[in-house]
Amino acid sequence: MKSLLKVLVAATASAASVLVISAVAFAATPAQNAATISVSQVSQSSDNLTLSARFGASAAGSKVTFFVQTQEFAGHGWMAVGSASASSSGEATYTYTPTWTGSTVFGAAVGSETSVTSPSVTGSFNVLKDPTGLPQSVIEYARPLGGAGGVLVKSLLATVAIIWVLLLGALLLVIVRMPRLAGEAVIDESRRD
Amino acid sequence: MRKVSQKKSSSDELSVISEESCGCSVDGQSCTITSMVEAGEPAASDDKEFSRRRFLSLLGAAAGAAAVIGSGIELLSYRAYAQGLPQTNGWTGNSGVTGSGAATMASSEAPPTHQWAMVIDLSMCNGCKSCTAACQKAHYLTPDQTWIDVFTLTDAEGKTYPMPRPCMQCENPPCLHVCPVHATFRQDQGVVLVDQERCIGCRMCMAACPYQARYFNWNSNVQYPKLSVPPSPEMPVPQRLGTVGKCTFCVGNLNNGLLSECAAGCPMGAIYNGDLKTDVAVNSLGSTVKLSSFLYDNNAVTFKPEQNTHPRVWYIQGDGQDLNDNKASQSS
Amino acid sequence: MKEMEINEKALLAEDGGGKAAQTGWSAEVRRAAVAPMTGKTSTTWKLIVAVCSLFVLAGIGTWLYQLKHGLGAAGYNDQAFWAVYIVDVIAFIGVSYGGAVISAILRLTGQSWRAPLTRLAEGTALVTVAIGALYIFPHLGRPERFWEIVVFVNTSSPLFWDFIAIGTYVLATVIFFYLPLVPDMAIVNRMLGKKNRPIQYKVYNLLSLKWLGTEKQRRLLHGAMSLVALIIVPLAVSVHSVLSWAFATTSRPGWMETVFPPYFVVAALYSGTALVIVVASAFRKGYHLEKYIHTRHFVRLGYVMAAMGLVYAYLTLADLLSEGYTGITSGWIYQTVLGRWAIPFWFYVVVGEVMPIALVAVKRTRNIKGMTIASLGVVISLWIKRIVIVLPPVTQPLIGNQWGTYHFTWVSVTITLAGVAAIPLGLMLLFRVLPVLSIDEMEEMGEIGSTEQISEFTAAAEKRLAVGATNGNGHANGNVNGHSNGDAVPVTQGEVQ
Repeated sequence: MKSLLKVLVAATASAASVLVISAVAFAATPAQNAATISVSQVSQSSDNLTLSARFGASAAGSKVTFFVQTQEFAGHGWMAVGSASASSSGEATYTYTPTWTGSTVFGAAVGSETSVTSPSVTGSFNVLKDPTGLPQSVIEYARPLGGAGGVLVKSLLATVAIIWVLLLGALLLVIVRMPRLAGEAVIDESRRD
Repeated sequence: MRKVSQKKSSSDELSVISEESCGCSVDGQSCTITSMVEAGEPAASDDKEFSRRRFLSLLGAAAGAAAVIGSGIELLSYRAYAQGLPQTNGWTGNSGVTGSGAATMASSEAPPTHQWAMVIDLSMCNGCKSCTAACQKAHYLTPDQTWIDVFTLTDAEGKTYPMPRPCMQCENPPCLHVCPVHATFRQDQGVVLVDQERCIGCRMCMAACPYQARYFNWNSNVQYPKLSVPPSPEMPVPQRLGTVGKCTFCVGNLNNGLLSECAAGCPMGAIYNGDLKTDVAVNSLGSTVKLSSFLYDNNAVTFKPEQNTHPRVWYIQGDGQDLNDNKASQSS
Repeated sequence: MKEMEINEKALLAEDGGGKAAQTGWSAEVRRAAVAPMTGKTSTTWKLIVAVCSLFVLAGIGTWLYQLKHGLGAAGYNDQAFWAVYIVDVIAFIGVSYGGAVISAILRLTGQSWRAPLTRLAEGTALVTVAIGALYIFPHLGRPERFWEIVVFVNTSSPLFWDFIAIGTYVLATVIFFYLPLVPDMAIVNRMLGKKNRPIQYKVYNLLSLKWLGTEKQRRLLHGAMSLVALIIVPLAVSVHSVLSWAFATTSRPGWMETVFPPYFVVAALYSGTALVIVVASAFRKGYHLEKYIHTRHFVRLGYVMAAMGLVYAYLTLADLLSEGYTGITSGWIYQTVLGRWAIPFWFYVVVGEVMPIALVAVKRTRNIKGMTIASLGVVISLWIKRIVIVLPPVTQPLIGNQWGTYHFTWVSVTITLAGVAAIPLGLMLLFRVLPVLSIDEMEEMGEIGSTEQISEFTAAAEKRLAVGATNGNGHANGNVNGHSNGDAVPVTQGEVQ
């Protein structure tokens, strides 16, 4: 957590500098440089999250891109998850479906997905549930007659078993019956005598 | 048990801190690599954990196997993967079954937190074969053992372009279906692995693989270094003579928050490691993309889709490149 | 082995045998069948056994070498991962089907002329199936783990079903070989007695199941044999189909062919019939069976072989044409017909199809020599044809256009030659302890059924009986093959050449 805070602090610091530059460029109301991002659950029934970012009226109408910080593959980089247009009050919201749980850092920046690569504001949120299952491609693969596999295997094994029973049965019958038949023949002959 | 988890979490912290302090992603990697090796040792000796996992897996497998094609007596086949390698994920059920993700989800309380994938951007690849070299160095392979190989294909203009080919980690792997002893198995994160301690060397899997992704340990004159961990399906060093091998997706690296060797070794950033579950993909240049949109926006394709193998490796094609053009893959 | 004398009293069938069995011809049959089991062996016999044993031992030694150094020593590589040994498995098990199916079909259709051939055919089937099954071990990289197939069963693997199929077929072949032996072992024991062979006597006594040849015993045995013959025909077909599916269930162009199961079955019957002809020809000469196996037998088997050859040529065309025409995945076809595999392919076409069929078609060559040459050509070229079926698809590039190569090494050649040498060795050792002719069956069919040159041989046999077995010289009548009856040495000295 301590390390997370450090990251947060660093991120906000850089965000502030960005905002200062933008303020100069637009020469807009300087008081409103407290850009924020907030995260909330969409509703009681939905595990999706509403990401909303305020950049003030200066950002009205422009694209706002939302980010999430990944925890995989060494980079811990910012992944753009989508973008939305800011309202006249400079607020943009985006409905995000979380794909993992745990404390997650979200961010937003003014600009389209191709023009910005990292957020100007960040905030952390503890995601408790992620509604995503595995992607469709993981679940689904079809082979023709795939479902028949079990039945096929069983019937094939049964066929093999029948063949073995027939073969060994024939052998066993000969082994058991043959000496008896010989015995009968001997008895017959002795009677004849 | 507790000791192990403590050590693991400490190594996790270590990696975060080091990443922070270095500030540079390349340095961060080198730091975490050392921490991974440390974390590897205690897990290796944890037999209880192993058997519990195995039991859980069998339970999971029991529920899942019904849905499996030609399931037969597949439960017997299970052999726990990753004996000896650290796992950052808590969930370890249902390994080694051909079962689909659906079965996994249904049969277990905690689904896998990762589903590894890969994206190869052919428009970025310059054919330098650094991926092959990095992979062979890290896994102590001989020059002809190529977990990732770079082939030369022809595009629509008749120009050639390089095409790296790792194991496709198919979701419907032909190699797995044909293995008579279940030496090939698919662990719960979707990675297809070979158990060289079980493989009988029949090479049926090599015949079945449409991607030439498998090789065989033909000769006994290969020298291997002694590692601190015993050979495992995830890190088969030393390899066994007379058994089959293939790319392991560096699943140990991925589970430790690292890139695979080939992706990390690619100077062009053409290879992305991805996670279908979290929908993230990252390359060696540190560019992080949302996997699903990345694939969609770039018209990503899989190799030989007609084979119905459902690879976990996607390709992004450049101008005129057509991976599945028959002329390129078949010639007289 | 010590010399054994034939009990003269046992030369005549006791009862039960057909009427012809009571004639002197029956005594001749018994002498000829049992002669190789008695007495000293000739120098030629010893030499052949010694040379073949050497080859087999060399093969086993080479296999041990290969175990130590890896399959790379046999020329294998990642783009030629299946090669010689799987071809050996297919080829040897294939020729085995020929022997078994020929024998079974002739038995089921009541072809009485089969009688002198059945033991040879079934013996060939038994020996070759054993050799073929053993080739699985050099094929595997880790043969010591073979037991895992039974323990870690994967029913979706074609190799599991291969294992089941071969196992079932071996069982059927053993039973099919044993059943007709029941009366013969009783006869052998009666003829050779206990002296000098106490252990063999005991074993045969046990295995002959107190055979007396009564009507009821005969009916029981025939019933069992018919059942096994009935099973073995579809079994042989399905087993070789399963073998072919080890190839055809992969997605490899050139292997994933719908034609493969019949392709393999017909190849097996074709080469199997050919090997029966070769074996019959060799044993006819070496074991003095000229009186029982005639030109007619060879010609009839030759017809069967030619028919199979035509079907096989048709299937080869069917395999190549459709893919070659569309050209979708035809790289392997080009390499087979015109490319790097053209020489072995056209060798098969000429020596394995044109030559044998021509030899059967032309009346002048339709004799024992012609049939033998044709069969030898078929056996050899069908092994080569299997190489051509396996190697082009396996070496083809599935990505890019780098073709793989396979080079024969001394390791693979030595191990393959061991199997080839094991056929005569196995048969010669087999017929050292078991009668080379199916005595009881021949007696049952009678002289008329079993032989063709009825009058000549009846005359010869009767005269022979009158003269007595001790008289070795004197007449050279009636043998169409120019082999004098008089050459046959008295059986008490019975040599095998």
